[in-house]
Amino acid sequence: MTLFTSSHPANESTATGCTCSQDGPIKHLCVWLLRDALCPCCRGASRKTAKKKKTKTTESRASFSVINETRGFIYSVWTLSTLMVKLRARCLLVGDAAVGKTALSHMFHSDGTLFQKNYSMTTGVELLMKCVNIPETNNSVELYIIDSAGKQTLVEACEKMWGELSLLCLVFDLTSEQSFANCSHWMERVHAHCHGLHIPGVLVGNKSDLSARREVQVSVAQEWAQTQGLEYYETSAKEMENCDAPLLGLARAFHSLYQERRETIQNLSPA
Amino acid sequence: MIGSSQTLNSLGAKVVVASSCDESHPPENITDGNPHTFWMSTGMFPQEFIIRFAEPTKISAVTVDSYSVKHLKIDKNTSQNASQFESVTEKEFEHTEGHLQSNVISLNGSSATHLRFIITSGYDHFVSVHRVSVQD
Repeated sequence: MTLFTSSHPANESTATGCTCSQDGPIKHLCVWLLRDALCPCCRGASRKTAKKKKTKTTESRASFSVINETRGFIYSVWTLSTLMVKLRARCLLVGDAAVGKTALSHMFHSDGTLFQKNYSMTTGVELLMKCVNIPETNNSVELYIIDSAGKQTLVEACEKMWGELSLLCLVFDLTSEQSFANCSHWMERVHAHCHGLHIPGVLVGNKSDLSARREVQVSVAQEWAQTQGLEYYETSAKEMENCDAPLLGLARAFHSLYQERRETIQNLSPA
Repeated sequence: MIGSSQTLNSLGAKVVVASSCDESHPPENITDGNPHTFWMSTGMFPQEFIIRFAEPTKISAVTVDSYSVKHLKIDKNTSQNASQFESVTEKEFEHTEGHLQSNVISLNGSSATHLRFIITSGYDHFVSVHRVSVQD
């Protein structure tokens, strides 16, 4: 059983600090159940262990084996839940020129430390990579962000470099009705490129800080996004507002898709 | 054992390179002869894995049991290292739903110490390979 070859929590050093509550409730429970010694991070639990020890001496062997079985079961659940997967996704960032695609991707990539004040048009395809951890798991998604030029005359050349896409981030400018209207053209192009393979996507209305110049209402954008099967977000790369949310959402969507597919494959019948 | 199909483990063959790894579906599942265990890709294409044989082995065909694989290329070499491959063949797989794909690919009895399987595209974001067996 390869299940039991990874490091056993009872063997881990706990000399300093608290190790079990950091790793979530399941591991906490396991450490508590597996170790006859005191749980290093939770006094309440250690008191319970002490009580248990007392009763153990008077209990029959049968209930010992129940306890051991329970421990074994919980340990295997714990090991399964901590097995690691690193997923990789190719995420296309498109939308009209000057809507803020590059600014958004740089803000995301640099954790909000890099906002380019001067506009410099992307004329080709820029690749950025960032690894995103999926909350409450040990899994992560490596996002390969393809920041593709929005300028109409450059699109065709850039499309050759899109490759096989996993995710879509479609961006428009909240102060430009035209950039929103063009989103349907972008969708058509992406659909044609993907040959019928469905890819999870988000729609992003950027420049939310320019509220006085807003031309696209939330409800309108949201409704259209829904018809296209996209999640809708509003961001301001300039004010660092919500910049992480769209790409984190995409990473989570890709992770869920992976788990779904894995489940399907597990239930397949042989050829 | 002429013309018979053999599991790769029984030939001392191993997967020595794989482009994806989900620890609960490791690449060893490709060579264990069991179609219920599998190796799964974890996103993007191309994906590849390399199988090393214990010694130069004559192979007339390989059978690949998989899911959602669209296009597969096979390279081989006869050297001790997993480098300097030459292209042998490629094949477009049919899409299946609810059950595995099973494809026999002829290698014309060529001798090899390494076989490289390159999955250039899939019918889905993720593909799986359940079993590779060889016919001598």
